[in-house]
Amino acid sequence: MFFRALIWRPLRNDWGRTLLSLLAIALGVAVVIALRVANRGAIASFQRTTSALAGDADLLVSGPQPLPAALLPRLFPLNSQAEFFPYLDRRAYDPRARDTLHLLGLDLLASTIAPAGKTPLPATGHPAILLAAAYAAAHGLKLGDPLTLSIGGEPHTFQIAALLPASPLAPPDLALLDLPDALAAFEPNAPPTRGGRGPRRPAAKRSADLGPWGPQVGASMPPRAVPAGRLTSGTRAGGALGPAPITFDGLRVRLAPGANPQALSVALRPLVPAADTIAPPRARLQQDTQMLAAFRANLQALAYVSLLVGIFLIYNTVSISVVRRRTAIATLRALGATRAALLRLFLLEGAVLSLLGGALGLLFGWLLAASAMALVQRTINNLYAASAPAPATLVPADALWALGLALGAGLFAALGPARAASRTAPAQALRPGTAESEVRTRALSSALVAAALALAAVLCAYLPEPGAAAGGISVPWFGFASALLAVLAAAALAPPLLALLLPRLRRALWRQRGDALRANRRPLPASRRHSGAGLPGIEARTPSDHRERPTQKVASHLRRALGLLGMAAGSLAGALRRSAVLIAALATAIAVTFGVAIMVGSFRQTVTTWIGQQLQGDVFVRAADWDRTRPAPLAPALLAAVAATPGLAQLEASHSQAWSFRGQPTFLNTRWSLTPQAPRPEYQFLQGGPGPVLVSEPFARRFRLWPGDAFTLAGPKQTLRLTVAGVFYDYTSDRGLLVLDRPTFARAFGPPTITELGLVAAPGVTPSALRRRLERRLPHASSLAINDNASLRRQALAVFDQTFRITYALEFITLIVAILGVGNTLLAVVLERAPEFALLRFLGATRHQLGGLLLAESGLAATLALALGAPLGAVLSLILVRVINVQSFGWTIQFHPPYAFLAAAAALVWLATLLAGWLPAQAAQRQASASTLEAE
Amino acid sequence: MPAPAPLVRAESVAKRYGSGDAATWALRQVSLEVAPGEFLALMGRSGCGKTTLLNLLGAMDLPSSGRVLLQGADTSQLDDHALTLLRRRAVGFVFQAFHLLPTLSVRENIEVPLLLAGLPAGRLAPEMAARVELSAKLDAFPHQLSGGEMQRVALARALIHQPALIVADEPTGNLDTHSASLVIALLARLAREQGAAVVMATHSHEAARHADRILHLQDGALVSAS
Repeated sequence: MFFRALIWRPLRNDWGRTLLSLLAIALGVAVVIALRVANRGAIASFQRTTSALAGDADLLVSGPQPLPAALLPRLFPLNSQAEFFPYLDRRAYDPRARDTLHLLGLDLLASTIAPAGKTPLPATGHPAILLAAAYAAAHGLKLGDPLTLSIGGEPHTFQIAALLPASPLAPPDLALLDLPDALAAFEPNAPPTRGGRGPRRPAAKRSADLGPWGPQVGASMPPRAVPAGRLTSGTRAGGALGPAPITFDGLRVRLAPGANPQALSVALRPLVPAADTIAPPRARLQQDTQMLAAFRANLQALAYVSLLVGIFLIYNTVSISVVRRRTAIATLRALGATRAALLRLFLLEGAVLSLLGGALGLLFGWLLAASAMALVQRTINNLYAASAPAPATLVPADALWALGLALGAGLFAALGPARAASRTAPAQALRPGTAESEVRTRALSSALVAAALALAAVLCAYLPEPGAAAGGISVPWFGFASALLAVLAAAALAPPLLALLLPRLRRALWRQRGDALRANRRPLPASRRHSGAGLPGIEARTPSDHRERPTQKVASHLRRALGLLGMAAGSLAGALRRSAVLIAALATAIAVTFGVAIMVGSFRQTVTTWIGQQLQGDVFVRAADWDRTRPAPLAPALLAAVAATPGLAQLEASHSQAWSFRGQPTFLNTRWSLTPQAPRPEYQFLQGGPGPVLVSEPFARRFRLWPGDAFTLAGPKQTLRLTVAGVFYDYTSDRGLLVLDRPTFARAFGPPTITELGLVAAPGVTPSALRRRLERRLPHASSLAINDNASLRRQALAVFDQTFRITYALEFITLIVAILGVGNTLLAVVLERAPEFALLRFLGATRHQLGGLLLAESGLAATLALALGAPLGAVLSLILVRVINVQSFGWTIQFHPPYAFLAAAAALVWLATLLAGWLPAQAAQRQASASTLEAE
Repeated sequence: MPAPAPLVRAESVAKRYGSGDAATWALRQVSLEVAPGEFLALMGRSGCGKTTLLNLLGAMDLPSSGRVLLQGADTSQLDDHALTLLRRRAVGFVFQAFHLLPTLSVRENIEVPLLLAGLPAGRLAPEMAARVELSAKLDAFPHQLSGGEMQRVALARALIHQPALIVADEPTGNLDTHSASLVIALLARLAREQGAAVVMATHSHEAARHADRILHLQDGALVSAS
């Protein structure tokens, strides 16, 4: 009964306010759920890629660079335990569709594929490709169509031999090639593998080995050439082997019945030293998950900020309930209600609000998930590795998580006000102002708590990241804790700060108003006074007095405005508990927006400056299917064509590849001049200087290798003992980059291939002119990415902005939640202060003045929140830049606050908050009446 | 010498709340005049229509029929804004429950009518506070005052803009006898000094003793005058 009377009915009667509360909570929960689903989708997309590759394999053997086919004979002793299936795992660019395909080169003859009942496709001379049906549908391709892909800067045409059905385990950008065809396309420098050198085999029935992606619209494979000396898939190791240059990206291993995977892994390790991964497919997924850990944690942390703001708002909603129902609470206490009963009652209000909000949040989260998924996937593609997005689906665990999270947050937020309600002394509760005076007396202890929290925030900022094994990607838990503690410190500081500030502000405004009055006083003649016996100084007015001079009119408006502001300050000071929470919530949202904006703005400026220093060339050439993890080498013929281009002054070659260092994925790079005085990258050194061995900052931080430190680099050719000469700033990858000079690289890895070219135009030739010449002259230019310096910078910054779009979206939602909270609180203020507004109407306030008072309160609240939030934002940006970013990604960011953006954001927040007060102001104007006061 | 024009005139004023079967007549055909500077007491049982009549005379509400002329202006003919300006200029209110703004100090509470009118305050609030014997409490807040003190602040607030009419609704209803007599004496004296008329609803014969004229209301109608 009490619940119905004290909680349910008021919630239902104030349905507008209740809806705003629910919306605020729902948005907080929705963001968390959407990010949870998106993060799971990101993992699922990697999982799909792994599943597509693994098929029914029990183990995957792979290394940071291709495995030589020559190792296969060494596996002969293991024949009885397993079958070994080599594969290529690459990406190819489709210039027609301007899209990228994930290409797997597998031995499709390893088992029979059965496109039953289909007529064999006519042999066109092109190798067969099995294409994901989704990709074909998206780009208007059908069975039998030719498909030209750009591989290593060269066009390669295939015939679509089968369409792979949509499958939860197969990515929609998947394409399969028979291994010899894949080798021919991706390893152009290898000896020819087809063209009649091997026996032609008739089409075979096939389907089983494709596992999850057996053809949907099947067709018989056209006859194909078997490469000379190819490793017959499915044969035991030690079968016929081809020439040495043939390499594979890895081996799929299918265990014989009864074979022990652990024992086989141990046995394989010395036989395949170039492999850094010999593990079940799920272990590869764990690696991917680990790689994304910091990124996911950072996004999730941002999402939880919305929920934190939501917690402030639940606190405020329940607080307002307690304040508004003080009389009822006192009556219940007088009638014998226990403290525990009241505590339960208001906790229940928090629970009801949060559960309803959580359920709504789940729905919103589901709606937001697809957009979040797209943004997250794009960011992951930019930062880590390309993978096709997996569908964003909600699972029952999400519902439990949303409701549990909302309930936990709701109960936590409601605890304070519920305890206040339970401690209400009946006699005191009937006197206005008591609750607020309690807050004032607690200001000192609140200030002490704020100081303690701030100190803890500083301590956390200086603690090293927990559990960061050398080389591992760490999640900066202490950094997050530091940011959270800073926010809580600011929230704890809000009540004492406002208790100190607001009364002084009120007095100052009132005094200013008085000064404005004195300057514009116009004594009225005695005849115009209302009564001859008036008080000294009284200037009673008649209607004719309203015909004021313009200066007096301005002064009159100024007096009113200052007076209303003073009253607004008084109102905020009078309801300090509510005002403090409201302002703290808004300040938190502002602080996070400012903090992230400063971080992103600084990062952008740092990257812009860095790109300017890095890109010394005028034009850059690489394959259109360039992939950071497996960059395709450029064909030698292309190099000759580039070198012969008129207008070229200098040429630099670059080789990049993925590499595994101490079991962790990193990147390797070497550059060398192809002409005298070729452009050299001007590294900006964090420590040390130029030398044969340089490491990027993330590499140095991950592996704790600084100038003068020695380390061992185990290359396929030779193991070298190297010493770091310098650590340079680098923002290309958080996995780290090891740069070797060419001789050192060659000693460890053999002669480098060219994966990129940097060109300098001759005097008088503009970079864009040189680019256009290259586009005209180079064969298969559409299979190449030819960029001039300016367009590459633009592209880099576009990728940067795309990467942080999800961050901006999260900030925006957090601000919306906070602004909804302002509207909600002010609406409650209108209901709570109806008698006060009615009184003001008695005293001569116009309806507009009542609205103005509410707007003055929301404007003042926004100003105070900005005053508190902006410095807190600066502190958060420090934590983000100096602690969280360094611990998550290993990047040093120079401070470049985007002042214009911050000013615009501040103005926008201020206006939006003012607007949030508009609706309550309208309500205040409508409801103030004589009867309201009489009812009191 | 002709009699001065009445400050307030109610002509056959009636007030109905609700409509149809649920309609209740709070006032029926009430006519009266209040002269400038006159102190009028309204007496009657609870629910007899005293507060309704006060609201009509003070331009806080409009009659269902009949008309109220305040300073010659027909309140029924004025829009909300004009009514507000009329009330702001010509009327001061005192309530049984004081109704001070809890977030403002004594000085600021007294100054509120001037603030709303955009009028200068100068030293008026301290002077008014002195007149109601609250100089020492200028910076205190309502919750720090006794009931009598709160009502004296309300009195100062009602008088600071020198209104022609003071509407007092049971001003001593929440006060002890001593405070009540202090407040009512103060109201009568200050109104007289300012030349303001007072219309006061009260149950107290002691309070009504200060009035020049007493009207009795019963079931929404005037039944006698004394």
